[in-house]
Amino acid sequence: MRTKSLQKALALLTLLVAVALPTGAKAEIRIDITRGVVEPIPVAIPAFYGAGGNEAQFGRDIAKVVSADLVRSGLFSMVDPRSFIQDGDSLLVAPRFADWRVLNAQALVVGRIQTQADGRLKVEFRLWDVFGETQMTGLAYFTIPNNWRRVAHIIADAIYKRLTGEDGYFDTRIVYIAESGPGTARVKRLAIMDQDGENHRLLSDGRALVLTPRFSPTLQEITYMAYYRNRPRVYLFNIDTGRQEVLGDFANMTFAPRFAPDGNRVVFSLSKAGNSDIYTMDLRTRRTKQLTNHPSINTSPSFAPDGRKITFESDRGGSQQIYVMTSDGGDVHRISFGDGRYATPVWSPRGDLIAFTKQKGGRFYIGVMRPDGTGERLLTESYHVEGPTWAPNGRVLMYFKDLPTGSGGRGRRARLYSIDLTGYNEREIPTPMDASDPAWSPLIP
Amino acid sequence: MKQQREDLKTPLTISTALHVGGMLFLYFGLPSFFSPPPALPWTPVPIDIVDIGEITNTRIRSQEEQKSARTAPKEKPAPAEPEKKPEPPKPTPPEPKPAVQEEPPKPDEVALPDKKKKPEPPKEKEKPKPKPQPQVDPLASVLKNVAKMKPAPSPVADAKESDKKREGESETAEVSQQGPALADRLSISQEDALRRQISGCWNMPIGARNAEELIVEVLIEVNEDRTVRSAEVVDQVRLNTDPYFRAAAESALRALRNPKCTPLELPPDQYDKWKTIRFNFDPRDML
Repeated sequence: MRTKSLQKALALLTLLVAVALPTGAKAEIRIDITRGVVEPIPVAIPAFYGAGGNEAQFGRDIAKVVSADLVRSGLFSMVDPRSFIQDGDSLLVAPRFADWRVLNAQALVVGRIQTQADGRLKVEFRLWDVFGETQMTGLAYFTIPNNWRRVAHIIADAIYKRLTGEDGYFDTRIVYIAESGPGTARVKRLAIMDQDGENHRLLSDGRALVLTPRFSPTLQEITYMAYYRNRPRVYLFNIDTGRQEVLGDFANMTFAPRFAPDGNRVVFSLSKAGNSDIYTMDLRTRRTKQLTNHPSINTSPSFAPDGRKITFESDRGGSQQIYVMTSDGGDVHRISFGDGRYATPVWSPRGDLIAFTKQKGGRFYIGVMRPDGTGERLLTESYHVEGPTWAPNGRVLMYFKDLPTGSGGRGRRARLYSIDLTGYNEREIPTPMDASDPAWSPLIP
Repeated sequence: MKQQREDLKTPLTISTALHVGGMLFLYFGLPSFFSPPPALPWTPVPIDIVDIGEITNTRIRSQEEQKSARTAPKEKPAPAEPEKKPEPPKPTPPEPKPAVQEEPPKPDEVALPDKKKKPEPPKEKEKPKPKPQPQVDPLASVLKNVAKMKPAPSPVADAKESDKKREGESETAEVSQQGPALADRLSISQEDALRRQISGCWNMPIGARNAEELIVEVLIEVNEDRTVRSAEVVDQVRLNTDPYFRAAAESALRALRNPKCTPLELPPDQYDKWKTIRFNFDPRDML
């Protein structure tokens, strides 16, 4: 009897505890914020302080370039300098945060230029969190005065990295095809410029038709295609030395060369009797290896950043689609299944996405999808838009777009554009003439 | 004929009566003599909200007492617990109070920097020190497995849990418990107002790699004037090792410190409810 009643009491107890526990849960206010605003972060960048007239000029110029870089990314906006309350060298002592909060600046960049005894410039800056009233980062650089523009890009990269967590992409260059002349006698030359359009240079004289330039991950080299005696060949060009060499003299046409992530191999396609297949070439031994062997067109190969996989386009299934295979040509599978035709896949340096050109209903699109084919998103759309290339941080894409101009749409205006991965902030990159086929360099070492 | 009809009259009435009765019986079912039919449909939710004010006050006092008892003899929970069985209901409020006492240094820091010149390094160091021990520890043990914080919190948490269990034993405790839990909460519309306000100030990090994993939990302490006194990212380890997470965490902190979102939209007369608030910044709806 006793044990039974005990058991009963125990059972009752457990029941009560079970009922009581959940209601006794912590009574604390918890707020889930699952939406926010997508707006540029307001940043204030006063002219970097310089004591002398020369230094003050550098200070203004550098602040201007840093501001322009950050604004162009679409992630930041600049607080109007005319509204600044605090200015000059008092900033070097310490920012009066209240004065900046009033302007709704969330970050503040304070810099100083000093000329060293050896004639070099010392450029230093601090990035302040205005709301938190703490220094987020502070760095100093020494450089020859002529190099001020690059220092500005490097500072912009440091600020970008600190505020977004991602590497910057401002200290980079773009190669592209500069086009001029009428449609029947188009001159196409290789050109290079800074990522913001400055320091523009033509690298070839226009006698040979040049196509599809691509940067090496080691930066100093470009691979591209040029027509020599009406036959396309793959070339290697060293920007620093100006030396150019033919990568190989094949009996057949070669297309779409692109470097492997290690910079030691090039992947390209080679066409025979209406078919084309994908090959790699080791740049040191010049030995080629065939990766695909299929009676169809296989072209536009691009390595994953880890070098283990390659994405390419093929019409083996009846229409132009994107495929992925291992770097030795195994496990070929299709990843694009939407309406329309897919071409020019390019693997992001971040590894998480593949950019492509899509054609559907007479329009062109630039889009991205995950390497398994899911999550397709179209970022931009036009009469003709093509040739996506990634910024080295995998956050921004560049491509060219051309639009009919003039009466009857006979003329055309081709320009380079960049766009954020999120589909916001499409911007034209200023070029002196028509432009196509851009390729973004890695960060300059 | 007439006679036949007359003869049938009685059986007919009986039969009709029985049939009608049968139909009624089928329609209404058995008469129930014991339980009156359920009249529940009325009881609506709002009632919960009304009563609670008084209850909370009494509870909090008891908690304070408990706390002082608890905080001191962390390692000797046995004696303290039995005495205070009835009071235990609220584990939550305890945390804010120690924090309040220890925090005064912070507001000073925030205010001073305007005038001071280079107190940045000291700030960064001081912030983590004072807070983590009183506040973050007990909570962290419940929510996160941050290595640093584990040792201290566990005893406290254990004590609390055992408290809870004991509460459950007496029925009165069970009943009273529901009160505080609801009492400490803001109403849904109040929470919505705060959520809407902070959402408008949160410049979220979309486009980052694996943005869906950048979920930032922030514990804030609020001054009585509804300004944020302190805001602490709970996962300090990840904050110091993952630059993407740091950027996301800083975007959350900026939202909470944004002048546009000051003061916080909270009911001014219910300070006890919102002394501390735990925010979860999760970009899932924007990806």
